[in-house]
Amino acid sequence: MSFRTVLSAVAFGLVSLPSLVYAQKPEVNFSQEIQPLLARRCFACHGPDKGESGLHLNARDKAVAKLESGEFAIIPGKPEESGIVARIRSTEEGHRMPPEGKPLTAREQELLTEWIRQGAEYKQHWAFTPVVAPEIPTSNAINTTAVEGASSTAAKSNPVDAFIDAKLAKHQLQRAPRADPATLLRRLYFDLIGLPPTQQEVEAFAKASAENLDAAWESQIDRLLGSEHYGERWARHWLDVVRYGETNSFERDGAKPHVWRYRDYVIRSLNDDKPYDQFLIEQLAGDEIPNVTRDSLIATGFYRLGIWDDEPADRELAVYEGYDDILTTVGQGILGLTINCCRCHDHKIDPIPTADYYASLAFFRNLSSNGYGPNVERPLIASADDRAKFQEAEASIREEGDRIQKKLTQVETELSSQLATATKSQTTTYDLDDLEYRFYRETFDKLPDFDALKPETVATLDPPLIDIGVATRPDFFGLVFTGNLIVPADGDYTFVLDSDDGSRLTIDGKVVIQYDGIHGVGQPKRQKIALKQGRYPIRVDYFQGQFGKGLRLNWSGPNFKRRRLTAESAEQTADLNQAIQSKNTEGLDPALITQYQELRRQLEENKRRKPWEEYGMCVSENGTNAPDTHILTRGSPQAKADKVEPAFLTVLGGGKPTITPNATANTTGRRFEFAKWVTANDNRLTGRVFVNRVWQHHFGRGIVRSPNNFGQLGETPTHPELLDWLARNFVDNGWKVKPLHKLILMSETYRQSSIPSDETLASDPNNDWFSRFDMRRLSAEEIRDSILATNGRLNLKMFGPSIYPELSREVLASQSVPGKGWEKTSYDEQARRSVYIHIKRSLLVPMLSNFDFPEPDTSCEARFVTTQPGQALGMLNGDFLNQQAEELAKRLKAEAGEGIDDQIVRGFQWVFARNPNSTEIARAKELIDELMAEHRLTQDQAMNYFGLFLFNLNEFVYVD
Amino acid sequence: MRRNFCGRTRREFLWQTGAGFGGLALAGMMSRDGLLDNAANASDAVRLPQPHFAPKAKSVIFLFMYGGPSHIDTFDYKPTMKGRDNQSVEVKTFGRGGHKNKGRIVEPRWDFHQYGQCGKWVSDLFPNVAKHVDDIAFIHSMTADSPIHGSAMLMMNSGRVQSGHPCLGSWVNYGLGSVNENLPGFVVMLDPMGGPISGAKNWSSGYMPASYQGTIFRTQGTPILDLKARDGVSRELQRDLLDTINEQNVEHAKLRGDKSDLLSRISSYELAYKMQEHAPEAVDVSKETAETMQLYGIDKDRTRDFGTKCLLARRLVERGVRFIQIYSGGAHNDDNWDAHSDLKKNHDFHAGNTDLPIAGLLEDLKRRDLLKETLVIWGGEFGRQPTAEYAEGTGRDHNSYGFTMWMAGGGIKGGTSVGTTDELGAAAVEKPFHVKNLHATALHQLGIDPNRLSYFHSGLDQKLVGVEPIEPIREILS
Repeated sequence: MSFRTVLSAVAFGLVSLPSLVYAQKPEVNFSQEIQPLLARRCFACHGPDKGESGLHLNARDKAVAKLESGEFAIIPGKPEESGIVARIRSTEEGHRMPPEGKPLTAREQELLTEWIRQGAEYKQHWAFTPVVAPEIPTSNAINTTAVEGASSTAAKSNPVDAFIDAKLAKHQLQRAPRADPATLLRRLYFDLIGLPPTQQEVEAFAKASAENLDAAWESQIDRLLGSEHYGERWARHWLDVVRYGETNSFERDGAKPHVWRYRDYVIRSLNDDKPYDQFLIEQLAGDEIPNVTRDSLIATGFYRLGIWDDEPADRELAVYEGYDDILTTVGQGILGLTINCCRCHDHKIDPIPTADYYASLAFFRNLSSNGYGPNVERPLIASADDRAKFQEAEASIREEGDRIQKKLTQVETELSSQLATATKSQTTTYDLDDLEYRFYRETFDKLPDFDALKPETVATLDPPLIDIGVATRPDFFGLVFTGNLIVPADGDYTFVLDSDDGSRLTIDGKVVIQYDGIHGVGQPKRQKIALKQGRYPIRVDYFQGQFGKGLRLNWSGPNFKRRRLTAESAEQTADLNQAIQSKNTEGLDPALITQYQELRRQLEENKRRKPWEEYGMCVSENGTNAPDTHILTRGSPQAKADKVEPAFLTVLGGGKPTITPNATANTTGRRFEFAKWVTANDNRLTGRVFVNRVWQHHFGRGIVRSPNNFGQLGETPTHPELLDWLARNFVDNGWKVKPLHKLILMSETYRQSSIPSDETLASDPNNDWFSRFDMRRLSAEEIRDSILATNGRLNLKMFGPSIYPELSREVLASQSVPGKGWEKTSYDEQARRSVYIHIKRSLLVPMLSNFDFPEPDTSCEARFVTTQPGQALGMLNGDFLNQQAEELAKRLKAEAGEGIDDQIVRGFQWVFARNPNSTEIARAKELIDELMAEHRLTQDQAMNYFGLFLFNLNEFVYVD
Repeated sequence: MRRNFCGRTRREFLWQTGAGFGGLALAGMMSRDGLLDNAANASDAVRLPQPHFAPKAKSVIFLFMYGGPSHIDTFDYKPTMKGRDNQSVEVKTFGRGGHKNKGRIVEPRWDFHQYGQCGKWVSDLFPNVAKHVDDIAFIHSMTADSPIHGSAMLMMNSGRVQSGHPCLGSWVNYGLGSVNENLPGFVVMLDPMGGPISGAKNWSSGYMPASYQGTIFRTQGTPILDLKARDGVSRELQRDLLDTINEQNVEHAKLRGDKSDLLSRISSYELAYKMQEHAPEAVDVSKETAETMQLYGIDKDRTRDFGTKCLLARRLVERGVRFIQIYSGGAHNDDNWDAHSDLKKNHDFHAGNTDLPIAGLLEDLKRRDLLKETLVIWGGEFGRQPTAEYAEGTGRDHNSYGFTMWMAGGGIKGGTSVGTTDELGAAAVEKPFHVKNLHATALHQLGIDPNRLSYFHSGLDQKLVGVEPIEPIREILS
């Protein structure tokens, strides 16, 4: 349906606009009310990409231009003559805009009309403007009826209430009455620590509130914010945002090394009330900051949390998938921006060009690859002192290794020659002589100019065979062999070189075969050259990185087939081992064999020794210089376009950082600049996005209901002034999180009842204006932890490697190797809090995912809250629930005695922190009686079902 | 939850209110029981998402040959390869062994014969399936982005080589909703050898709610996890327990304002109770005739397992389940179609286990007039190379440059073949189709426009087939 077809069918003058009555109206906020509406409902056909009938509504000059039909969609100041107004108000199917979905609501129609009347100005989207704290509404502005019934003094003293009340008054709503103390305390406990209060705590609080309500409330807030369990609860919110998973996904779904330290870091940071800006800087650039700490190194594990394919079909593309994962998480998680949408094309809605995506990517361009090994697993060394200790330990391990290797080589050579004698094999003529080697102890990823380096060892080789077995360490070394090649006759000679890793053959000063880089054996390189009879200088350069190694050089000529110029030291070792293992040791010195085996054992042990106790999963870069960053056309690494330099997003003010490479960290220093920009006090989004998340978890939804998307496709804030006030206040007061919590929790808005009046329900059905508190279902973790807390099993041990709750055979059977990567944890350890459960991406714990634990592959802004029969099945029939109900029954019997009534009362007290009323006791009693009388259960068995009954109640999984 | 609408689309919203597994029924029950006082709410949730156009198929059965069956040994007839065994040939291949430019031909190890009106050549691996070629459309020019199991499996199931995206079965249920309140809409049955590589990632709902993920169905014991009450718990006992829970919950709800969530949860317990009765009925094959059991090969040891799953698939289709996936092959190496060493032994084994049951399924669906509304898909995550993987033996490495999949029923034109590979079967040459085209075809047959069905996530309208418009494979549509 295009604009044109209908415009031509309808004469403007005939369109009546009966409901347009112009009174003096407040200014319509374009960025908050019009832009999102246009983006959502109009841009698909009339936006930056498509302009059906010649209408683009994304920019003012286009929107007010003449259409293909000659008409105008928007005539600023004149809604009656603007085509768009007629079209959105039309009741005629096919004429009305937008053609799909519901018509615009009356309010939306009115807004658009009013906006055009006011001049149809396009002002910048609210979230891209600087954060300026608005005036706190004064009580004058507050409708007095709204304040009545609640504490008006609190409203005056707490800015949160002032902002909320102003909106309530505007909508002629009243705040719900205050919730009772028991409800409040339960709400606060789950909110702050994710655990229920005990009955004693509830009663003490009720008593204290009767004396001094505000003081009692405040002291509870302070106490719970000071609890170490606060970090365990709130860490989980952050872990959702940063896609925290403990394995890599894909085929092997291998466990990430030391990943749990990152989780512990988040818990500790929250408990310490680490300022949010510091928290971010540590995660983004904890290795580059001036004062690197153990924690700041662990924090950089942030970069390693995502999915990682160890065997991608397209390696280069996979590298960019990794960058995209980081940009997506940083963009949405920290800035509330879907930068990820600009990987292949300019953002459709927000003013973010593709160039900005790659300029942002440039900050991360030099990251080393994810996975395992020294790039990722780094010793947690912060101080210079520690560094010295580490280097000393490293050197001592290396020296010991060298010593063992040297001895081993001697013994091996001796035994090998004994073996050769015993088996009467071996050749005697050699094609090389004067062979010498130089050994370099260093890490290479390609052949260096060895002549510019200082060798550790220089020695001759006898017999003159090129042999990498002379190396005194297993990995990370280089070798240069030089000598003379004896050419027996004139003719063409073919050389075949194979190596793992890189090698180069030079004869008579000319490079014959170049086989550089890190690779394996199996694809030998060959080259034929003509040589005259005589002696020629020959040289072979070789380096070994990590893992497999090997070097083989053969030649063939006019009078001979394939002859070897390299020794087969690896094969010799294998033969020797084989001989020893098969006890085929005739002719070998038994003492030497014992010594040989002992040395091999020592060498293995030496390889396993680590110079440092603690390692973390950290970021690292490939040195201080980054490779170029190019814009990739349509996101394809094969289609490199313009080169870009690191730069900040233009939509947030732009600018280019001054970057200083960081020699100590061995990085480009780029991430530190990025981190500083993100956490600058004038960053337009970081503060807003974070205070919104805090609000979200206190109230069940953010002021912006799309916490990861503050762009124009995101939701409009319901209380933009409050959001900006909170953000400004938060940033200006040092990014401290606990005071922010306290401010919100002290408000009357937080303390209202969740029970709305019928009128409120009718006029504010979605609770847009916080006219009541929203009841919420507990999260998966809260449900599990509450079960363990109330039956007395909860193990409050904090921190450390993750735990593995027992999974049934059926669940494990979904793996290609059942049980792989799922360890055993003792029963007591299994009773630890859910935040410590191992998160294996391909095997999420059903008890958690049943209750909407998020898929951890991408950032989760808000969890789903589903109600499914599968939850009921798990809660009634599942192993965990039945086991824990039984534990509850056992504890009831032990502590309340044999009496059923006593057990019932105690059960309610433990599980709901209250006394049951007489109806409830009778109801439970009836159930237990029935179970015993009609279903012939013993009292113990019946009490298990009583436990199950309690855990299955709505009262257990919902909090008011 | 209405208040957390968060800019999700209507479909997404429906999902969250529970239009997924059992959710439809939930809302229905609530309105029947008068529990939902707000009539508008009830009707909102009850309405199924509407297809974009008239559907040809109502359900999908995806027979997943995990590990990658060799196309040139099954349905992609390469007569000119005969007699070329062990010849060295220049051919570009890419598998787990990396990129290669030449190799040693392993000629197809089975004879081919012509079948049906259409005269389709089928190898002796599938003599029974071959009888149904006039109902089958073969796509010989399939391509995928990865020749590595893990990412290739993700691609075949979710359209991406990266994990975290919803699978085809999730999309189908998201697009159409479920019509059976007692059964999940996306059922997965695994091989007795074990799950496929990456396990649950292959039936994950990604960024959609977890209730959209595939539910593992077992052929023995309890079909669904936690469906069965604990030992010693009778139906009556459970009823008494539920009644007491309900009573207490109703009282709890009375004191509260917005009751819809609380009432949903009460209803979900009733639904769970009903499921316990009806879901086992769906897998109870005791009332099937001996002739039916034979048809599926359930009377034979070799074919009992896969035959039972095929029969269950038919029973689930009859009960309105939207998407059923059956895995042939599990775990690693020769426990699935991944024939790296001995091609003959491997494929004889897996084809022998599945040929008769698949033929039985097609036959049974047809005679019950279900085939026309049931889309059957056969294939693996990729095919295999024409050349040997190693110096010795007949093992073939993976091949995502060209392979065969077939579809039947659900508005698919039988007796057709589309696309070709080169003379060796190394790569698709004529009319290459991507996995996305296959997905688009499946959605299209279900009445869903693959380029319109979207889910808002991460700032984008995500689609199963991706950003670029993707055409279904029109050549095979009737």
